[in-house]
Amino acid sequence: MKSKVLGPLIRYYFADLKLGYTNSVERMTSAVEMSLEQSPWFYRLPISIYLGCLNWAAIFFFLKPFTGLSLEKQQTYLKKIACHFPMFEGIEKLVRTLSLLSAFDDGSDSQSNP
Amino acid sequence: MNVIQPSDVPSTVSCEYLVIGSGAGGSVAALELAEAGKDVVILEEGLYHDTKSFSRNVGDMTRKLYRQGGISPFWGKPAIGFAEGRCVGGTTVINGGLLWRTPERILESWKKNEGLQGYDPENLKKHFIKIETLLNVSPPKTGDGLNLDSEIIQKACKALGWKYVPAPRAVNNCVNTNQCATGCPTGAKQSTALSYLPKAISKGARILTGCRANSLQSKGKGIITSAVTPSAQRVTIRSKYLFLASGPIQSPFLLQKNRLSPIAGEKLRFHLNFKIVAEFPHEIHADRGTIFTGQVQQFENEGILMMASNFNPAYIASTLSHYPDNTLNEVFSKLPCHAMYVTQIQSKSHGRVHSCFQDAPFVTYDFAEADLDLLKKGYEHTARMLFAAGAKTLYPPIKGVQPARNFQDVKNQIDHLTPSQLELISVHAMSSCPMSGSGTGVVDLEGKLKGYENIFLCDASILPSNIGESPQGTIMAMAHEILTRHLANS
Repeated sequence: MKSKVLGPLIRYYFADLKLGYTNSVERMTSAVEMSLEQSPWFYRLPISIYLGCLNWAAIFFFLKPFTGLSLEKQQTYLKKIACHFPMFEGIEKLVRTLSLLSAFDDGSDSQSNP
Repeated sequence: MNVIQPSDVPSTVSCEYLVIGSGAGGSVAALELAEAGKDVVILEEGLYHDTKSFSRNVGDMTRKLYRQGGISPFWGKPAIGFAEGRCVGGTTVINGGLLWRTPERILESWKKNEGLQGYDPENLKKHFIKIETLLNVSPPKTGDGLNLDSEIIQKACKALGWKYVPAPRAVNNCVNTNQCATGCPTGAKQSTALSYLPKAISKGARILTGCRANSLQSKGKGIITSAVTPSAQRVTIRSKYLFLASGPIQSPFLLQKNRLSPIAGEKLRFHLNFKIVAEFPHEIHADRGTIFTGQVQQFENEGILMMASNFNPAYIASTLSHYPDNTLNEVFSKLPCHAMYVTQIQSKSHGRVHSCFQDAPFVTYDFAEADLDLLKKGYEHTARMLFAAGAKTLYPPIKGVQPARNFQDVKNQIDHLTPSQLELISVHAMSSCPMSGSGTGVVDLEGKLKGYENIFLCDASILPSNIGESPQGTIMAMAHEILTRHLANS
């Protein structure tokens, strides 16, 4: 479930970015997940709970959890509703920073090391 | 290097000396003890990564080489991102290789305030000479046009009459890959994994990798250490002596958790860094140079240092992640015209390492009001220098502000700056188990843990205060001194 929420979140954060990054949203999602997995449970747990709340809260607006929505509706939900949730900014900062750290991973392979 | 992989670690190990941690402090302990003919085992939580495995993939390398994948915050207002290494060689694998001798004013204050007899410049000199020789510490190559980000601030400092000093670094034939922070792919940077540890192994030391120390018990005349591998295999190590060198966060965490010191972790000190991205009217190509070749020390006595920082699209993007998308797009459309600079302050804030969660440390701190003034001054000085160097636009690490186009913009930002707006990081923590000659510290002048005859500390945690400068040299010199005293006594 975590990756199904994180993926659209990352897509949302990267929607207007034109940085020439080479990694795909799927790979960035997996990178963020792996980073979160390495953190202790007392960081992982609140983040998982938050992502769970973000998922189930969509039922009140779309009668479906976030993961069951179309890509378009997911982006609408994030842009118009979820962005007003408490702590959304903190999660955005964390996920956005982690995904930006991994955003250029593929491209850097093309620059061979001396 | 011949290390013992986690899958090959036996369930019980006996040795005379156990060293926990293989970074700046632990590697010194391992080499000194091995050279003295002692039976040494090094316990390292991280894995061994060969030089050939270091890639430009910042995300991948951060997860491999950094503790908790780089997510180790200090909680306070604002929260600070703290980074430290977790691999064979510790933080020396992922730092910039800066190796300064301890500032004399710091050693004097330690002697005066904490009674650190024998830790004076004259006595530590022999240790620094040994370290500098082993790590090939040398001034940087300059004037080749590859480190323009450093060269332009050097010129600006000359024009302003400010002190700019070439940075002594532990490198051997650096070819400017600008990958110091994710592992040097050419082996130019002399981390302890390429210098001290292979020598210690050649003298008989053994390194158990991927083993996280969990419990420490002092039993009779020995220490029983329990560790666990990534596959949850338990390892028990019986040793006569323990040298704890797992860093400024993990060392006090282990001591607290195992009830070996009630005051460990209470006085954590650190440096604060804030990074400014600067745009110049011409191409700088900061990625063609190395992490930094010089340091602006004009305000060192106030606790402010400035230098160029590592340049990589991933770092630029994550550093500017608090800016709106259009700002990031603007920067990336002219990336070669940008460079990143770091301003480091000798923070007055105090942190605390908590062991309440048992699994991992939880670190909190109180933001000192004096730090806000110091950060404002640091930003002001850096901005003055960068505009003098010809910068058109500055992107400060401040939430909710526009990029600064001139010095008046900077002044306005500073006038309204609040701590919660700041995006700060720290890569230097220390003093969580301070040494004291007057009995008020966690360890004595021999590095010995108060109340125990066979437990010693020799990492950043023992520094009596934060030093305002990159601490690797100081950690290593103090570790050498502790080991010299220990071997002389034993």
